Amino acid sequence: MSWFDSLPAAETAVPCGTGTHTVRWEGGLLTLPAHPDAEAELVLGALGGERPACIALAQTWAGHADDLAVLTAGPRSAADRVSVDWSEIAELRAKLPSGLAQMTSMLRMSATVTPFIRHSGPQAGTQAAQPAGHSGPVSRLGAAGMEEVLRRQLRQVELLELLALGAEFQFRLAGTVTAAWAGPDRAAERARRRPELSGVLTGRFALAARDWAGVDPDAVTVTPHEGDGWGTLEISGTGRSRRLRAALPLGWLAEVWAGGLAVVDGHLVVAVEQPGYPLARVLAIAAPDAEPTSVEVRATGSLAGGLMTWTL
Amino acid sequence: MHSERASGAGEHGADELAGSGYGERAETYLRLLAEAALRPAADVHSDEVRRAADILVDAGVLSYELATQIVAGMQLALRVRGRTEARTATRRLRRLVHYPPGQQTFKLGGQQHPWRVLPAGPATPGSRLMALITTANRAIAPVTLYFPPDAGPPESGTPPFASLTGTDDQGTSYRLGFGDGTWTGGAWTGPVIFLPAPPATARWLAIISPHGQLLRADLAATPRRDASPRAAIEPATESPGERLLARKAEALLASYTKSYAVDRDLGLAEVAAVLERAGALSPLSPVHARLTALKQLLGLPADGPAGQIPARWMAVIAAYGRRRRPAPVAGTAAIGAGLPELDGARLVIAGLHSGGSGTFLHLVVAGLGPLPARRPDGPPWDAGFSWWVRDDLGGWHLGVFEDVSPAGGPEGLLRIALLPPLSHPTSSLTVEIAGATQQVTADLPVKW
Repeated sequence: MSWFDSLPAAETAVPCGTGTHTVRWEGGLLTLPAHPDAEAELVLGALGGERPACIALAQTWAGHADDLAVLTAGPRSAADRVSVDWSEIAELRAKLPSGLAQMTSMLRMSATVTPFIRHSGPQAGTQAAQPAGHSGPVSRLGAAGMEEVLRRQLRQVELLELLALGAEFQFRLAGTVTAAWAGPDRAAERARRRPELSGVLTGRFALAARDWAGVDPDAVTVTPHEGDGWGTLEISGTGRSRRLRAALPLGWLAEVWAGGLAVVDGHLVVAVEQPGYPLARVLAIAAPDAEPTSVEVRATGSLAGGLMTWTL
Repeated sequence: MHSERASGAGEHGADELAGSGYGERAETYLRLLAEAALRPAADVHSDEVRRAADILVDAGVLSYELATQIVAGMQLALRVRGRTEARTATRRLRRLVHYPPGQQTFKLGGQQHPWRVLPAGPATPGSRLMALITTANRAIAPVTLYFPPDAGPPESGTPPFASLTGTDDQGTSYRLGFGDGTWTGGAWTGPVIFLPAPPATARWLAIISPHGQLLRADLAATPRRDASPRAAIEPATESPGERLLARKAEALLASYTKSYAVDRDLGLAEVAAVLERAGALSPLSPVHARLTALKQLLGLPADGPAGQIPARWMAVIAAYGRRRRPAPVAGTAAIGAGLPELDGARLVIAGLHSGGSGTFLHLVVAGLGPLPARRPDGPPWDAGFSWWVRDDLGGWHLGVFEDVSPAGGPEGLLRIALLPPLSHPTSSLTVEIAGATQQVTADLPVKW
């Protein structure tokens, strides 16, 4: 049972070389149908050969697979449209010092990229070559401050590149990131990043709470829930003083929200009991004064703002 | 790629504030505010987030790095939504525009070289040394140098620095550097930097002009590495929000003295509201009533019940309310006192110089938060510290950051104006400095 079991496959076209290639997401993995032996092309790229844009994009996806900045920039709901044009990416890339992006990617490539690419070719023993002596453009810049500025610029361009994949991929990447952070092995890290995770949860859950019960999003606060159970939810006050406080596990974002399940036919979904597509079983609250109940939901087959829609 | 994150609380006493929960509450508040600003038709404008970030950094409950990261994340999020809101640069972000992200001015390194603080000897005719501070690779000497009339026309724009050389009793030559100073009719007051640091065997350093020795600093004096024996450091008793509002009140006082152009409003209502919402200030704090009383006294619009104005605030108001104020005492005095490290900052009070333009404390510092190289127009700087000085007659003087200049290494040279200026040659000063988490009180002898 995985967080992405309720998500169907998605495809998009990206510029690669002189044309466009299809990038596919399925079962939590990014695949490159036009590059059946992506790993071999990666190695060639690391050795100085040309690195196709698709391959670079897959590396970027893998490199940001647990980057919380994805959630800061990305969409909060189906109605929240985030749009980046590929021409803007090209312009920004052109402003970066020559070779910076490639070198930075190469430095981190072997450790992060392979688990996220479905291999069509040989998988064993492929290690990226390190640039000789790290004497590329980064080290030549000298000042550590300048290097840091450039590194941040590159990171931002990469983030924009991922957002340019479109809404369906934006939600799937957000799910990937939150799933990476939701595991029991990262409880200590989550505790250290509690304010950030509160922001990430609140920003998304507040819009769901508005759609569900008409609660003012500014009056919603969500904190990360640790431990057993789906969490807690409490609505207090009336009128302008109406407040909603909730505690939800970070995994809610991956399993519920990224799958388009946050609100289904007026029910607030607080957990997924049995993920699946097109049928899933969820724990949902029908009204603010009701208790969560287990219900079956069915995908409608249509999308709203990149999110799958569901019905009871 | 792991998500990057800057450290939590402010530069001063980061660990203490983060540990006390202030840092987490402040960060959560700012992040939720940024989320609110992202919503379509939001009541919160992104400028409000930037101003709140400024306030929380000023209060020391959020680091500059983290605040910048949160604001930058919001800006990127607005951009990819096609929302390019017109924005006004906030005070802190604007004034730090020339600093690389996250740079701490005069930051303390991991391994700190001990400073030797050598107090000046008895005053002699001519130039006057305040103290000599020896760091890892240089010696810094705040001084008043008197140039002989034949050294050049006193009305010239700059002193004849090029003709000066540095030496010691062993005949070693030193490169000399000169920090920002004041030049009035043949006398220059400011810091002289000797490069390299003198060896342990040197007995004295001297500045030589073509007309003879201009200044001699005795290195054989017993070094005072620590603060005066009568220096006490203790944890702050007020919340970070109360500290910040107290410093805002001091900025109002500085405005009242008419020495500085201060925005009369200072946005105090917004500052207090942000601090309360971020958990850095209690709505029941007595500081609200104190501020109201101060604003009423200064003729500013004020709401809410007024409380008692602290005696030291009243002392400043009374001094500047006089029809005739005593002239500042003239002269240079040596102090040479290193204070205990305060919220991560090292401070050595070298001495003071007083004259027609006022009284100024001269310090060598390291580990301060980001500061501009020049005092911009507007409110006095808020470097995260509140400075009060009491003279030997019990008179209170507010310390206001006047300017800071680099000394070539991690050290900086700081000048603090005393308001009102000293009107007599006090034999001692009691200095009270309050940071975000710590405060120090030191009794310092003053040798004119």
